[in-house]
Amino acid sequence: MRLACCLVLCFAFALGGCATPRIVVLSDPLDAREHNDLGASYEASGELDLALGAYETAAARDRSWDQPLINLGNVHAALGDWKEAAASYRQALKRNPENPEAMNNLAFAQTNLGQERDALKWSAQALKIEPGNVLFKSTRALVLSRTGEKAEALRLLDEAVRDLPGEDPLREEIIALRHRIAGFAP
Amino acid sequence: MNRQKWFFNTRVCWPILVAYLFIAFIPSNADAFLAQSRLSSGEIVSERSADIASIQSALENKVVTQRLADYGLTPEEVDAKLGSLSDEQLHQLAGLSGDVGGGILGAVIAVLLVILLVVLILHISDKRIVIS
Repeated sequence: MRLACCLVLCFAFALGGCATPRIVVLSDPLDAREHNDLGASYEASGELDLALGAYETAAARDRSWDQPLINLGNVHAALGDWKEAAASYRQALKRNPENPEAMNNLAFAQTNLGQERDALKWSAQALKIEPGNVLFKSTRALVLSRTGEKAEALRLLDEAVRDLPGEDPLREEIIALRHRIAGFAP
Repeated sequence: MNRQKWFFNTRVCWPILVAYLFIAFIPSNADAFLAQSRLSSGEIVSERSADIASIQSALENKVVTQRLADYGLTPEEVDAKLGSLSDEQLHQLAGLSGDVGGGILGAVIAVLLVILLVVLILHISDKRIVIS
């Protein structure tokens, strides 16, 4: 009786097996760097959801590489999710504690989250590593202006404008920030 | 004349000025001072904007080729299929290829099925697992 039951069940499973979907093992043809580049191309074309996926995969495939996490943070920032952006930059800094771009971007995200004290620390560290970087000077000035240190902020922005070529699009942003801090104009 | 007086009335001007003051504090560009994303070569994306479409196309081609092979197509069939796809279709397929296979839900269902089969077989063969 038991043998008959077993046979019937085996037969049922065999029949059922014909109807069940085939199991397909998917393999990933891209390495971490290629996933990162694919993410960058999606980000450039404005497909931010696809970019998020590609950067997450790149970051997971090479756990020692920090760049996909900075890029991931930038996409979160573009989506207005500053909390996730800050988390990504922090993860990038865990992988490479000396990356000034991750420090600068973390400071910027923290400024948007109202965490000016932490932002001051990170922006100072970024500028210490690359004292001539115009972007880092601008972020530092923004953070300083939020903590009431207007004079120092304006000095840094004047330096940044002096260092930038006339046609650089960042120049206008810096001038606009300078005006806002000085309290002249919109 | 009356109309001009209304326009310069301080009861109208002050609320507008106060509202403008608050609007002026809103930053103009939220992410202007972020360091931009970089490619694996270390270049900023905007520096390679001319090549970015070809990079995307080449990588998506690689992804779709692998997916088609995973589903059992021969190299000749893969070539034929890829040749018939437009850039837009290739892009759509590459974008969807990450979602196929059911993801976490598929894995959970597979594990549950295996457990169910093991329990059923043990039950039928009148055997039990005892953890002591």
